[in-house]
Amino acid sequence: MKTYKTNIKPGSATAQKWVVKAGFFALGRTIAHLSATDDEVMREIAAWPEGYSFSMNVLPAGPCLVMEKLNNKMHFIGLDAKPDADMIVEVKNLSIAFKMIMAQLGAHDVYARHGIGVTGNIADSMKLIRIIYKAEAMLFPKILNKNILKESPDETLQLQVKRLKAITLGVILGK
Amino acid sequence: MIPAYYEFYNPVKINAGDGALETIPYELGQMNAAKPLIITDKGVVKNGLLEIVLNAFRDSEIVIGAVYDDTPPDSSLVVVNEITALYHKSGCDSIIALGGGSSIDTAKGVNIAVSEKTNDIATFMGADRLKSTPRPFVVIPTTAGTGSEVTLVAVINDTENHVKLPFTSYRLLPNLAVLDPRMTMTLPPKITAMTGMDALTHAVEAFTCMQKNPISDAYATVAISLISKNIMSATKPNAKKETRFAMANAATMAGVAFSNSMVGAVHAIGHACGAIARVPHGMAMSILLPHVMEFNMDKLEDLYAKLLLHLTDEETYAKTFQSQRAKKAIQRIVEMRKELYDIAGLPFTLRGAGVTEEQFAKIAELAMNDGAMLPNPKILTTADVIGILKKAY
Repeated sequence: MKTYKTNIKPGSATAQKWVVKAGFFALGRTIAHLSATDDEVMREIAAWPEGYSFSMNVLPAGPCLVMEKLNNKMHFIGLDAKPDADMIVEVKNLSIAFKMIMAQLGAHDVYARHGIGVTGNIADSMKLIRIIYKAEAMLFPKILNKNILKESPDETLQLQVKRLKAITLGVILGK
Repeated sequence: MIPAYYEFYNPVKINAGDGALETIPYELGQMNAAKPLIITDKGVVKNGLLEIVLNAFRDSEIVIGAVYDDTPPDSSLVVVNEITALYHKSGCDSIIALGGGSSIDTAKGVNIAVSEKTNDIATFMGADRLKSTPRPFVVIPTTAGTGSEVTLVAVINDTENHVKLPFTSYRLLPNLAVLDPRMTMTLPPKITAMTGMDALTHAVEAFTCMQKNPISDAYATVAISLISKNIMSATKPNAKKETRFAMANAATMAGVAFSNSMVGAVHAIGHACGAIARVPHGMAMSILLPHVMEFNMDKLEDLYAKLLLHLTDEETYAKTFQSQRAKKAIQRIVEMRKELYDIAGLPFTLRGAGVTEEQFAKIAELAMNDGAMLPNPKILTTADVIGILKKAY
């Protein structure tokens, strides 16, 4: 009698997971930096109360991007899920999150692919998406961000200086 | 162009045409249901539509568990809880929604409360939060516009906290939509015009927004053709059954389309006009549609050009230069609005709908945070929204 493989345990996409973790780390620290330096981002978070938090969770087992508003600024809390966050954004699988981090899919593309779900206030999720757009424009040069933003900002000197600050002060130094 | 990835889902059985109501007892039997609760409103009862529906159950083994006929124009948590109590008290096992968007959304809310065994459906707000198998659910629309009979969305008012709660789940989709021509025969001209333009907006945005796919396109384009050819005659007094039935089909098809490809900025701004200035949804859609199309023109010109074929006819499409087709498609919608104003008094400006310029800032702020902004292919700023509102004023 022919035998078949049973109880197959799928492996883990470890490398993709680490890339997403690194991307979430950079994204989180960029958002934190912009929340203290960029007028538009400051306006977006102004209506969120102190202690407001969001958790962007990659299903089924992470990583997660967790941020919290403290002293009128967003803080990058970490990469572990926060089940009691005020807003939980669920990215439906690691493959989608990987493409987001690798500048292959924008937030609207992910939405168009039915790739995210939101628990919490829809208006807050719209603010978060605009903040992510802003952060992606800082992290990626036009040649990359034109793939993921609906409208790519002009590569002015001012933008490049802001990008340099966001990467050095925000991502590297965490300020 | 076919997107790199898309999803499409529509499991709703559609029974449409003469005698469609009489198929309901058999269909309920197929779902192992025998005691439905009917959710409707006073207008439906007054127009004699409930009686027609009840007559469709004669000689069947179905027992109507209860009829709730107090659904308000805006569904609310309080009403959902009241009806849920009636459902349990009457020993019902299924739900029939008979009416327009409010009755259908209320019925979806009751189905959440019953199947999730909760008296606080607000805890299930959001996308994909429902986990339990819903009760057998039949929808009989009495307007031709919302498409709610085939959508996965419900919006219920939390009147205590003054917020609208959106629910999105495939578990909200009805099992059966019944399109019976008798149900829309009494619709007044202005409501026919408004709901028809709502359906047209669903179809146009479904065809042009970011979740569009080849299957939703097929539904959207046929819906646009049906609306374009029938909305004027359906709006006139003593409209023929055929034209009204065509509009009912169009609304359902547009509903299938946008339930799978979402809507865009027309809806985002329209929702805000409704919330701030109490502009009826269909009226807001009719007023805003051509203005938002003009705004989106540089991104969507090719798609709008294709719509000209469905908004007019083969001859007009063929005679129009490619470079002029998109503009002509928008012009056709502008003309439709003017005709509907003449026939039914449907306003085509925000001023005519009672909006004041002082409300623009609030409308724009609210619109920017509406979920429908995301699938719009072109990004909008608050200033862009105010610009559109000014043009529509």
